[in-house]
Amino acid sequence: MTGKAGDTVIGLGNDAIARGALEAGVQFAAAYPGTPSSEILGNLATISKESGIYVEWSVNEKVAFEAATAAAWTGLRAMASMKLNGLFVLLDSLVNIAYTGHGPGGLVLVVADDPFAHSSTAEGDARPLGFYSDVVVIEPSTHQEAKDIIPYAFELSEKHGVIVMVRETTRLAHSRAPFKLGKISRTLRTAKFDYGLPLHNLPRPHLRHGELHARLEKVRKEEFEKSPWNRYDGPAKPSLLIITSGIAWKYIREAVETLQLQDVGILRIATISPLPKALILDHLKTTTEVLFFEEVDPYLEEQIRSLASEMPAKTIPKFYGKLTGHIPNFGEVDINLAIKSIAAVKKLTYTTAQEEYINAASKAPDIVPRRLLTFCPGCPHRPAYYSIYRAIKRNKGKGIVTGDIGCYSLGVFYHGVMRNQHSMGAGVGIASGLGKLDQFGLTDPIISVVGDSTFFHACLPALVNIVYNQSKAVVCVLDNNATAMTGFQPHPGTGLTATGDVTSTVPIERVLKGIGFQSVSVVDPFNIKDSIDTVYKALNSEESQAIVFRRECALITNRQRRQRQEPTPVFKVDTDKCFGEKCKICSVEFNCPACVWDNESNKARIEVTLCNGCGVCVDICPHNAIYQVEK
Amino acid sequence: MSNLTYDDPFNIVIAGVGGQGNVLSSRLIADAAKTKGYFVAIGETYGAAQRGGSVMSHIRISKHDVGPLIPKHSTHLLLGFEPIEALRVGSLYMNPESIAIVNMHPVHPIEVLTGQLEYPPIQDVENRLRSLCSRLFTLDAVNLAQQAGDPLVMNTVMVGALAGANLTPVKENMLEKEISKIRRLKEVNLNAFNLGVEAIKKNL
Repeated sequence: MTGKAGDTVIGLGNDAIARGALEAGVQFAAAYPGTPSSEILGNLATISKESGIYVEWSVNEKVAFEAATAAAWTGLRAMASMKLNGLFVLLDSLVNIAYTGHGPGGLVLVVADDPFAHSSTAEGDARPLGFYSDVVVIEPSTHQEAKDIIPYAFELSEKHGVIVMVRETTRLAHSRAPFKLGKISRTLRTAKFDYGLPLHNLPRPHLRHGELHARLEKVRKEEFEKSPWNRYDGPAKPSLLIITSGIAWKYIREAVETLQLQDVGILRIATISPLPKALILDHLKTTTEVLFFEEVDPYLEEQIRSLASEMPAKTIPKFYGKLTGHIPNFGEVDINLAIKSIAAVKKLTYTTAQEEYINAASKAPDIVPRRLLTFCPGCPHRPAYYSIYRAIKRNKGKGIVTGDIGCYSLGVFYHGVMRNQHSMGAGVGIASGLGKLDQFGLTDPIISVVGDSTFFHACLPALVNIVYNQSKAVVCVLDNNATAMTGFQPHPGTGLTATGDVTSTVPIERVLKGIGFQSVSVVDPFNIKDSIDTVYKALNSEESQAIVFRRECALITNRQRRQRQEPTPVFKVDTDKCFGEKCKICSVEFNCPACVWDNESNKARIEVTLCNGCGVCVDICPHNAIYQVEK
Repeated sequence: MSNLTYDDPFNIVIAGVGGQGNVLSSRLIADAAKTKGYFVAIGETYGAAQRGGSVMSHIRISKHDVGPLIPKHSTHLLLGFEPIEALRVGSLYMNPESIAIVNMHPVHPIEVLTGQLEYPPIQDVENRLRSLCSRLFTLDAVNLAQQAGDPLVMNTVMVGALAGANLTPVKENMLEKEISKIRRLKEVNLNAFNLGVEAIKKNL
């Protein structure tokens, strides 16, 4: 992060973006963690003190962007970063702030899309959202560009009074490659509030909309039509023109080389919105066939097809892409698809190996068992779900569990306990609705499961709704004291800031009481009997109920144990007491990876190399067959 | 294979499961290649790494600015940290000329641990791997790591095996230098590296 100018380092695309922010002189950075974007702010947090910049994990992406807007309003360079889902959360603010402008400071929004939804619940594309929100969108293709484009984004933002969105995708954000460092900006501006610069759209918002369009048109004409960020490689009159953006450009370049095609041209667009219309039209005139190769949505394809309507009908090239079925309209694009789609359009055959080999290879892994995701050994979410699962069983199978976003989303794999999973906080809203359906005949108890970081992010309005509208939903907060899924970032319940400083804690149980839940219990999920009883009672109560399952993430406990050089407690199975095949409660029902099945003895066994020493299995076993080995 | 010229890009796939040090090993190989002036790209799939999922890294060593993903059936080398993961991933990325170095010590999936599914006979996995490549080197890297002082440095044994095989543009001394930069368990890691080098040289 703080390497010397001129040095070349190998890093993630996100490392490059964070470095670019430092070189741009960013003074205010805010974000909410989300894969694949989290390392951007994580990096900036590590050097915030020495560089004098302010860095925060905000409570959610909308607040992060609004806080960054405030800094830009006072003249500072400010940046918010997030995964695509965060952009969904802040759209209302984005559209409004795009109209008003954001004052003299540069305002940059970095959005990381996750094509293929490697670490997401849905795919999506930030580019059309940026277009509809009337912000400027640019997209780097390489790690070097990811770094260099950030200072450029700030310059554009300040020069034209526009919000600049930088889009990246997982394969740039989370791949590593070399990039050369530039000079870190040492200029620190003073925050100055201009009382003569109010930011609102009243009394006539539609007129501000017109002014915004004029600013964007200026960006198109003065910056993007001749932008060095766009590039064309290929002959003057290509037989096929491929139009692409982002890291997909690298796949296309390699595919054209692999297929040894001299007559194909590649137009790489980095200035995504507003598009350089004249530049694109000039290129469309040079060819008869165009292939669009882009991540997620056919954004360039639709925009450029509409642009082509300005051409004389006979000169409009033939278009291939997602709209014509030549590229799948879901999933991520990659080097294989690049080769395949060019070969299809050019009517070539290309294989990386003999067909016979590929067929044999595709059958070779048919003996390989699947590798399901599961909670880590010692994870407090497992006993929390187990308690809910057992309480519902005791309640004659009645109990509908709604879920949310986090490690505890793995509850969908835990005996199918969790019934839905959508966006941050959506489980609480859906539980709120389900809990109001008794007048229509749905009388089953409703349980809403949320994590601690998610609780603060987007659950509060729905929780208020449960109390206000007297929905019968029972709220269970799985509090493991971290945003564990994305890398243990702190949140308002942890008492720590992004930079590791001690701050006020917002206690979850007090928030729940303050909202008006009549009964708020805090239980330790490792105390399994108490946990099951608490959930069962809540299912059958007339009062509004909230339960906080509180126990630190096992990975944090482990790390601390290692630092203190403490041994992990050791547990064993007494094979005389173990009921074997007839029971299997510890391994199959509780489903801990460390409670393994020993095929030779046909009894349970605790696998020492996997066990994290939580000891919950001791209480799970109905036959008292599991015990802790004395030190 | 000649030690003087290599295909460009030279492709290495690492297949394993979360917690095996996959990401760290790929960074180490990349850093070693960088010291020789190569451009190195690493593509990783590790979203679910800490929760028992499969993890795959693509390492590409080139003179040019290459993309992070290796085309199907185009890896020169497969470094398998776990047998069935090596087979799963190898079947997609190897070709008849590929060489595989595989740790044959299994990490059982959750459903195998709990007795709901069976782990295939290890000899079957080995035979199938062998049928997919030109040469297969197998070793028990967990056992060697244990000899070195900690079963968790299995990944360092595997980097040692890669170095000892001498099949990539990254040489043994360059990799050893990167290993010696590891601060935690430095001696254990160096031992593990050397055990990996020896294990493979015995089989060459």
